[in-house]
Amino acid sequence: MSSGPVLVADGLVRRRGDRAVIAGASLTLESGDSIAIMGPSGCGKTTLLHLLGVLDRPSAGTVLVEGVDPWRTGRDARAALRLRRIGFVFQQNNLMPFLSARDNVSLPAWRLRGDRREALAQADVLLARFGLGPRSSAPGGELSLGEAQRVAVARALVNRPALILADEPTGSLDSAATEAVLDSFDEIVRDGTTLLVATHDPRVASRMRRIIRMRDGLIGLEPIPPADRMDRLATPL
Amino acid sequence: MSESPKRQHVSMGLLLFLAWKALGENRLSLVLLLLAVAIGVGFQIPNRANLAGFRDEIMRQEVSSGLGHVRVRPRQGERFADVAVMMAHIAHLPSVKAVEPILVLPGAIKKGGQLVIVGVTGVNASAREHPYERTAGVDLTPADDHGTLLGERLAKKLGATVGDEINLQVLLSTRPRLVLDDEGVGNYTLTVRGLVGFAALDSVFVNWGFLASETGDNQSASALLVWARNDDVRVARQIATTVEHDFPDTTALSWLDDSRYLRSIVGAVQALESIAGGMSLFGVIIPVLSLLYIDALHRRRQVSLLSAIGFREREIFFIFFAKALIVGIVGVLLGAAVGWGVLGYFDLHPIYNYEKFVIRPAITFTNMLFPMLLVLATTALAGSLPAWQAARVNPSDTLRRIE
Repeated sequence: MSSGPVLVADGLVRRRGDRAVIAGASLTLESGDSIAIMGPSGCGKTTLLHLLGVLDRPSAGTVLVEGVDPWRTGRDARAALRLRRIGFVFQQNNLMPFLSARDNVSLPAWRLRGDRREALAQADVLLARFGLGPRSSAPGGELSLGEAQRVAVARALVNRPALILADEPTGSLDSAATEAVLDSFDEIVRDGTTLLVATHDPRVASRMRRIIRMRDGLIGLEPIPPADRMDRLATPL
Repeated sequence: MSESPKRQHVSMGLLLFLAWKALGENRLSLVLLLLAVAIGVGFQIPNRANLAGFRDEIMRQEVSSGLGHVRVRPRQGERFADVAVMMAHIAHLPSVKAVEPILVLPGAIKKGGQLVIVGVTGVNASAREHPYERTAGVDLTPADDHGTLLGERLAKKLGATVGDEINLQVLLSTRPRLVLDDEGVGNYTLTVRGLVGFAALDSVFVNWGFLASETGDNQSASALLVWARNDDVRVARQIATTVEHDFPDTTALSWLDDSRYLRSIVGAVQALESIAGGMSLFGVIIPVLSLLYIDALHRRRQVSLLSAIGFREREIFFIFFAKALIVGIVGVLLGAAVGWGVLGYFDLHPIYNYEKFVIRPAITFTNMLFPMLLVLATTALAGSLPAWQAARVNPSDTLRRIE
């Protein structure tokens, strides 16, 4: 594991047809960072997250995850990188509906270490930490949206990744569920994991240390003092 | 960041677990998949067994209890003058179980007012194999010069039964003396010792030694019939080739090459097996492929999540392929149980049963196992396309959609 930045993106471009969805994005994520990416719908937040998470290949530019360019390695190596170093939380439908919450959370650990019992034990710890112990045997398809998101956060954490990428993680949640998910994010950051959240929600952004604003595939880093955050974030871009 | 070799080794248990759980999610699809496979096997097993039973019955009647696996005849003329040396030689060839002479002469049989033109066949009474199957009475004994065996249909036509006396006239010499006179015709009063069936329904059998001595050549024969140790036509052909090589004055033909009837029957059975097997396979492949394909389409988001978690393409392929394998194995076992039950029914109630020609299913390990393996392979094949499709899902494209 590298002691340098968790992730360095340099001059990222992602084209779809003739259109550049990401038009030259550069950023560096240090260990323990918590960053919100904000911007209007269609500005390229999800695309950027997929590029940073090695789910999508940039048309130009480079992404280095802990000093390694995953697109210079093979597909298996990229899958291994996602398994070990990157966790994802998507807006909804994050879970395997036919698996229990416990099985959903244990999945990456079972895949990584090949030991189901150990993976389930890890899942139990995480579910208890997020207050989901009593719901651990409920199928993913029967959890509330808020519960499902917290299970997804637990699953993203189970292999102790260096980076968690969350795409509108509270977009479908009510206030109470949003608060519960944000609490879980606070725990992630406290553990020293880097968190990058794409969001429309000022409440989510206000809990992050840095905010990146995106427009038309371009990003600008905008450090916002904590005291100003809610006011500034409420202002339209 | 590289994984240790141990960690790169994926747990098959995990992939099978995911396949099993995903299968159980949609019970209706699972039931339909299992039914498609089970019905395919359940039909294929009795179908194959009945066709094999039909072929076995034909082989038994026309070969085992007929003219044997290889028929050896003189290349020129109607008879071998002396077959003793040739018989002894052929009997020692590999794969030969028995070799017996037959002498066939034209004749007529008379009982009461009935006269029927027949072929009279001299057979070796002491032989292990005969070109008939006795259905009533007793066999001829080697010293029995006054006994005969009648084909069942001929006996019925004559109104004769075991123990009756019949009058038999045999044309003992056909060449070079073609003009008939009393010296060329044997006239005998014989007792019916038994009745025979199968391919000999219209035949008359007497002792070969007796008939040959009546012709004046004690060792003469129209043909030698050779029984091989199994029904494989390749073995019969090998024996025939060896006989023709060792005795250039003979023609030797395997049962398949000697009989257009058998050739047609075997060809027809093979064609029916292929057609029925093909129909069963299509009956399996279309629903299994369709259902698993729809399932793979339906699960693109789940596949993308697995990909985001860090599952490799071939692991995703295996999860979907394993679903087809699980469906195949469970469906095949269910189908085998159904097929076994249907076989039992056809064994008790044969699909064809007329005048000693009974088609019973050939219940063999192969006839059970072959359809099972074929359908299992077909199911796996049908599952491989959806599995490949699932493995090729672009996770980024799928995950950006809100579903």
